[in-house]
Parts: sequence; structure tokens; C-alpha cells
Amino acid sequence: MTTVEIAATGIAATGIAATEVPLGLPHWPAVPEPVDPTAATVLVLALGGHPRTAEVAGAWVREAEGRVPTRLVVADDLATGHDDVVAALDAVRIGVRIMVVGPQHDVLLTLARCRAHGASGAELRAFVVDAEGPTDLPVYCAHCRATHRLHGEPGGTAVCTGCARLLEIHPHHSAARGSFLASDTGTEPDDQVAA
Amino acid sequence: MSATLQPEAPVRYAAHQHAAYRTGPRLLRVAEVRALTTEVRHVVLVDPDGGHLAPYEPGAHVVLTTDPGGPGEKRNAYSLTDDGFNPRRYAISVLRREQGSAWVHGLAAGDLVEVEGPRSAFAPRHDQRHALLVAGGIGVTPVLSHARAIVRWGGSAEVLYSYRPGHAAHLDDLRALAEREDVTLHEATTVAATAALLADRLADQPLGTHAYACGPVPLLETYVDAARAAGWPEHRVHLERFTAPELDPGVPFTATLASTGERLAVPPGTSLLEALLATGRAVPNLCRQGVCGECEVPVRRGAVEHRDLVLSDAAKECGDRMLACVSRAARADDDIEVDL
Amino acid sequence: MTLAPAAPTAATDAPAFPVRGHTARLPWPFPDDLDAFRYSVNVEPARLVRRTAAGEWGATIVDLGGEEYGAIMAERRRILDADPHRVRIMPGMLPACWDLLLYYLRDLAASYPAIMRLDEDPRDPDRFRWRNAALGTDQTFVLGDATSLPWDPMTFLGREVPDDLLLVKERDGELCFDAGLVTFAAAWSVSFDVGMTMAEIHNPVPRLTREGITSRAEQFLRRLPVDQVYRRVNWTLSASGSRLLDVSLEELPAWAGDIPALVAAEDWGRLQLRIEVEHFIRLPMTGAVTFNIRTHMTSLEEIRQVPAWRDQLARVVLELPEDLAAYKGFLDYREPAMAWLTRR
Ligand code: HEM
Ligand code: FES
Repeated sequence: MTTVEIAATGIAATGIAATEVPLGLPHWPAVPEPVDPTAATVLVLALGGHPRTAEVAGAWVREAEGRVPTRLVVADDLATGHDDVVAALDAVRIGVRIMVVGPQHDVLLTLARCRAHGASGAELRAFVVDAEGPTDLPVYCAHCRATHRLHGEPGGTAVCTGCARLLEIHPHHSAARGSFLASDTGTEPDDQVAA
Repeated sequence: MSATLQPEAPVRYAAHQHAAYRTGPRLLRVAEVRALTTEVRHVVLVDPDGGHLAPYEPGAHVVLTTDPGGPGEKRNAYSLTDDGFNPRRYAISVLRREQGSAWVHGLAAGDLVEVEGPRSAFAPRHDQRHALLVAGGIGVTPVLSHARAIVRWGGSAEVLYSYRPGHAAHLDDLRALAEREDVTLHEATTVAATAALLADRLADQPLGTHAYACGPVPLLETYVDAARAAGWPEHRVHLERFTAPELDPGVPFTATLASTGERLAVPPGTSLLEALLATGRAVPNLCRQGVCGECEVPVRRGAVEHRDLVLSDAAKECGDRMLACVSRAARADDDIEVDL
Repeated sequence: MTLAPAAPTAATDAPAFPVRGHTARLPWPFPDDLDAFRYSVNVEPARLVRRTAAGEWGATIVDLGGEEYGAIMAERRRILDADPHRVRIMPGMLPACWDLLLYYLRDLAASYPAIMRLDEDPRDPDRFRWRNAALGTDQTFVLGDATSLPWDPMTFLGREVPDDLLLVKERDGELCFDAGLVTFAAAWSVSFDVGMTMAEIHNPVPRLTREGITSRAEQFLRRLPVDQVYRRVNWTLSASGSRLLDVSLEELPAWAGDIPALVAAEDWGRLQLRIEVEHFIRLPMTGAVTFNIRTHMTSLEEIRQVPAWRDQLARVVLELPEDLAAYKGFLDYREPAMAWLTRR
């Protein structure tokens, strides 16, 4: 569920722009969330070889298994696991809770895939093993109009693998696409490396 | 804002230019009346000039003024049974229950009826990948509307119809729809069979399904409980409710103008803003829905029921101002003194 | 234009010459008495005629743009042909696009009877014939039948009207921008934004969400009645020093150099005030709400001719707090630009 932050009318009154946490980013829980007690079935999607992924997926499966029918799908990444994930989404019934764990790049795209398949926020839980600092992210380049896997962080830069521009990754995320928006910095990638 | 009168009143044209977008109270002509069961009549209404009627979302209803001018004058909501796409007719199916529906049963072709709406209160989710439609008794009317729209736009649905044998309005229509591959119909004629069918079908719906139910309260309770037991998140479980979403007209009150001592009566359904404008006072305003904050007026005295979305809780608590387009006196016949 | 009875201040506020066409039609974005601009849910009923210091605007939902209509539509069609990503329709939104098409064609036929016509077939209520003499369109179609139009219904409409077309619908209690045809975005990307919630879209705008404006705007749209049409005016200084309408994020590399070059040349007269008039209509068949945007532009050179506008724009731009001026993109050059504007 999404909560929209309101309040802070004090900022308006004083005209001071307080140091603000960006609102346009996904919020990652610091520790894996528990299995929803109202779930009728559970589908765990574990992506990538990070040891923490296996650990979290295993804990979720153990927690769910005793209570409700539980299924685990393991894949190296979304690209290789795509067909398995889609087959699992075709098979689940309403009442399912889908729990995704892995690196941000695969988790974000998998969540978007689940949404495109009809899942809603209330049915999705996620945990990422690389929440802090620069990492591989799905980045939508406004100029190539395509999503690439780029290394960086919101507010930072990355060189587009599609159009070779040095992109600024905006703190603007689309849950439907699973990606961050990026656009040209107007600087040559080489200048940046030199600087 | 200057206090002098404007040389010319501002020009404002009606919002909708085509007659097919009229939804205010108007007279429609009864084109057809047909008995569906011993207790249910199907009434078809058309524009007296043969024009288009306003399209509507599946599951919408119209409000009929029954027994106008008579002792039983009342406004009753009836669900529309067609898909709402570019209509030239509004069709309702009315179960004979109380005075209002008895009056509808007395209608004959050619009669004129005051109709308001359609109003949408039970709309489908545009992105649903599949629908589970649950009807109990006369609750079939909006469900039929949903099913027809799904068929028109190429979606898929499972319909669950619970009825008393011999009293199943529109069963023939649903069976005809179920001839199609993408529509399945399940029928139940007892309470126990209905509950079993609900539990069974709610446990077997693909990802992206939304469920909709209309029927008697016990059926709706069974449906909600079964959906919860099957782990359905709340936002997928829709119910037909007939409560109007608009603001209620509110209580009558008076407003005293501090500058002149003049007292304005503000009847229900009229806003303080309208009452002030009617006296020629130039109160700035834009949205008239309590969201823009333009029509704020200072309050000297009197308890206010704040119905806007602008003022903070603290400002509402303080009570020294109000938004005249939506907020009113807290109690009937109270007086509010405004600093104007 | 008729002259208003002379009030004491009218003499200095009147334009330097009789204005016609573009300037007379311009939807000046500020109320007469406004000196300081802040974001708010500034919505008002549509089709309310507003007088400005140079003329009036607002009688119709669609403003074809007079003599500029043909040029705007040529630009719109060129962009749509070149870039299919400017139209994005999420699953389940096609009925809403038909709802939009029918509403607009009916409205246009009523607003511009001399050049536009929608015939409804008396025998088949779903069959229509649309004619637009200004663009030479003559199209028969069956409502709801995708094969009866050369494009999807939103694209068909987008090739007839200058407005960017945006549709909003509720999903899981959130309003979502689920269909859009946008060729004239002010530095945002339609292909990225379609499918997002209002909160997700507005999060980057300073103050908007934190001051509760996003949620109030959402409440407003949720409650929007079917029998009323509303509109809102938004403004900024354009990211291009020409009448270029397509300053979309997609095309950033093409226009990013414009303002730096203009600033270097101190060619302030070419700066453009960009005004967006947005219309909110609840479409009855689907409950989708429109947020259609008509973009207008006027240069500082033109604004300078209308003293009331000149002085007000300078006051508003200079007063704007830094974060808003930075978001709108003119923090770095507003002072010299406004000094030029008000220099006698
Ligand atoms: C009453 C309703 C709304 C209000 C008050 C509102 C307000 C705003 C404001 C103040 C901005 C900043 C623009 C600037 O300063 O130039 C903005 C940006 C924007 N709005 Fe809205 N908005 C409303 C509804 C909508 C809707 C319904 C949509 C989508 C369909 C939308 C899409 C956008 C987009 C795409 C941007 C650009 C954001 C960016 O820079 O990335 N708005 N809005
Ligand atoms: S007129 Fe907008 S709040 Fe009252």
C-alpha cells in the first residue's frame, strides 16, 4: 500500500525548504517483511546468486509453508527466469501474495512484470540485497525511449548503453515500468571521466 | 478585489454543448413495459425527441421521481441493465417492493417520467483482466450491465447468479451471454449452494481479477466473508451501494454580515457562497468544491462544520474562518457571523 | 475589442497599440491583482470568458488557435509520425479513448460549426461522419470499432486538435495517468509517465506533494462531477527561445542549448512565457477524467507591449522563491531578463 505524504504545512508558512527526503523513490524495507497472515497461497520469486537472496527466500518459504500452499521460483536473473516467472503468474489464483527478493534491477523489473500481469501493491512484497549506494538499476533513457541496465543511483549519472550519452538518473521512479527516468546531462561521457 | 460593481457580469457558457451529456433532472418517455417475472417489470425509457442519452459506466443507476406531486412522492434509484455505450434507451428492471416500485409497475408506454442521472457508483475497474460477477435476486440488474460491457469490449467473466426458481429476472439474458466462450454462468437456487459456489469460485480466479456483487445483505455478507477467507485484498472486492457520493445538502442556517448586520438565510442545498453572491457581494471563488481555498471568509462567531479540504485541522479547530462554498453552520438554525 | 469605460488606472495599463490575433486571444495566466505566485489547486469552471489587458479568452473548451491552427497541427502530426512513443495507452483504456473522441468531436462541431461537422447516422446510432474543413478530414467511423479508424481513437483526435490529451483513472484508490498523447510536454516524458499515479508524477515538483496540493488535486479530480467541466492555468518560461512547442524531455538534446545561447546573447525579447490551459472533464461512459493541455506561448517582446502584463510578469517572476524558480528553470537568468522587460 502506498501512503502519500501530506503535512509539513510549516514549510509553506516559513518559506524554508527543509532538507527533504526525495518522494519519488521506492522505499525498501530494512529487514524482510513477514509473510502476510491473510495470504491464501504464497509465491516466492528469488532472483540472482547473492547469498542474502537465498537466505531471505528460504526464510519466507519456511514461514509460509507451514500455513499455506507455497511455491518457490529461483532464477539467475529476470531475463533467464522470465518464462518460469510468467508461468508461475499464470498459475497463481487471487489470494496469493507474491514475495520477490534479489538485486534492485531484477526486483524492480519483476515487480513491474507482476503488475502487468494484474498484481497490485497489496499483493506484492519485496526485499532487495543492494539497497544502499550505486548499483545496477533499470533506467529508462528518454532519448532512446528504452530501458537499460545501468550502474548508478538516483541523482547520479551513468553512460547510456543505447545512445552513449552521459545521463542524469532522475529521482523519479515508475512502478508500472519498474524503471528510473534518465535524460542527457549535456556533458560528454569522456569529460566526466577526465574530470 | 475592488468593492465597486463590475461593469459587465462575467460570461459563462454551459459546460456540455451536446444534449447527450445531460444528466440533470429531465423528462423521459416510457417506450416499453414488460413483465420479466410475476414481481419484476422491465421499463424502457427514451428521450421524447428520440435523441441520444448520456452514456454511463456499467453498474450505474438512474434516479426516478416516483408518484410526482402525489402523497408517495419519492426519489428512487434503479440500476441500468444495458452496457452504457452510446445509448438511445435506459432500461431498468424493477422489483415490486414498496410504494415507489409499485408506482413504476403502474407505468405504461407513453408516460413521462422525471429521471436524473445516470450516476456511477458500482463501476468496473478498467484494467481488470477478468471479472467475477455475483448477483442475488434483483441484484442481477447491475451485474447484467457489467457482463454486457465485458462482452462488448472483449473481456472475460464468470457470473454467479443466485435466485429463487421461477423468480429469476434476466436469467435468459445471462444464459444467452454464457453461450460465448469468455463468459461462464453458475446458477444457485439455495442459500447453501450459493455459499458453496462463492467459496469455490473465489478460490479459483486468475491474477488481476476483480469481483463485484449486488444482492440482498445476507448474500453480500457471505460474499465478503468468503472473499476474505480466500485471501482477497479489499480493493478487489466490490459491492453495490446506493448511497450518493455527493455532499449532503446540509442544515439550514443564517449568516450575519458584520459590516451591515444584515442576516442571510442559507437553506439546505444552497451554499453560504451562493447566498453571499446573491446579495451582490463579490466573494472570490473558483472551484466551489472546497479545494482551491479562494472563497475563505473570516468568521467572528458561531460553530462551523468544515467540509473543505483546504484548511488544516488546526485552522478548523480555531474556527476563525471558513470556506463559504462548502462549509456550513454546525447545527440547524444556528447563526454564523462573518466578517464581511 | 471594445474599450472598457476608463477607470483611473486604465490609461497606464492599456496596451501600446490595438492588439489582435495571438495576443488578444492569449490566456494570461494571472488574475489582475496577483503579485506573488504559489502553487495551489487553482481550478475554475470551464467556458468562463476571462477578460485580459489585451483581449479575452476561454469561451470554448478547445482553442483551435485561429490562424495558427494549421501550423500547430502540422507540427503535431509530424511528431506523431516520427515518434510512436508519444502515445501510450495502458491496458483497458481504449473505451475511455472512444469516450474522449466522441465527447470532443461533439464539442468541436458545436463550437466551430463553420468548419467542423459531426453527422450521426439516424439508422445506426454508432456510425458517425466527421468532417473538418480546416484540415481536410472526412472520416466515417463506427464508435468502438478500432478497424473503422486509421489510428486508435486517441491518436485520431490528437491529429485534429492542438491539445495534448491525458486521461486519468482510479486504480487501487490512486488516480493514475493511464493514457496519453503528448507532443508538447514541458521537459517531461509522456512515454515514461503514462501508467504512473498522480503522486508518483508530482513527487519531483518542489512543495507540491509536501504542501498537500497533490492530494487535494486528487480529491478534486475524484469528486469531479459529470455535469461540470473545470479548467486550470499553469505557466513557466519556456525552455526554448522560440515558439518551439516540443520541449519534451525526449527531445532535450535538441533544445538544451537554446536558453544558454539566448542568455549569452542577452536576447531577452525572444524568451517565451509558456501558458498551459488544462481542461478537466469526467467522461460519462468510462468515468475517466481528462487533463487535456493546450499550450500557448508569447515572447517577452510581445509582453512588453502590454504594460499591465509586463509589470505583473516581472513582479511574479522576481518574487518566486528559489526552489520554484529553479524547478521552472529560470532561476539563473530571471533578473537580467526581467530588468530588460521593465526597462523604459
Ligand atoms: C488539479 C490538478 C493538478 C494540479 C494542481 C497539478 C499541479 C502541477 C504543478 C504545479 C506542476 C509543476 C509544473 C510547473 O511548475 O510548471 C505539475 C507538473 C506536472 N503535472 Fe500536474 N497537476 C494536476 C493534475 C495533473 C494530472 C491529472 C496529471 C496527469 C495526467 C498531471 C501531470 C503532470 C506532469 C506530467 C507534470 C510534470 C512533472 C515533471 O516535471 O516531471 N498533473 N502539476
Ligand atoms: S471556491 Fe474553491 S474552496 Fe471555495
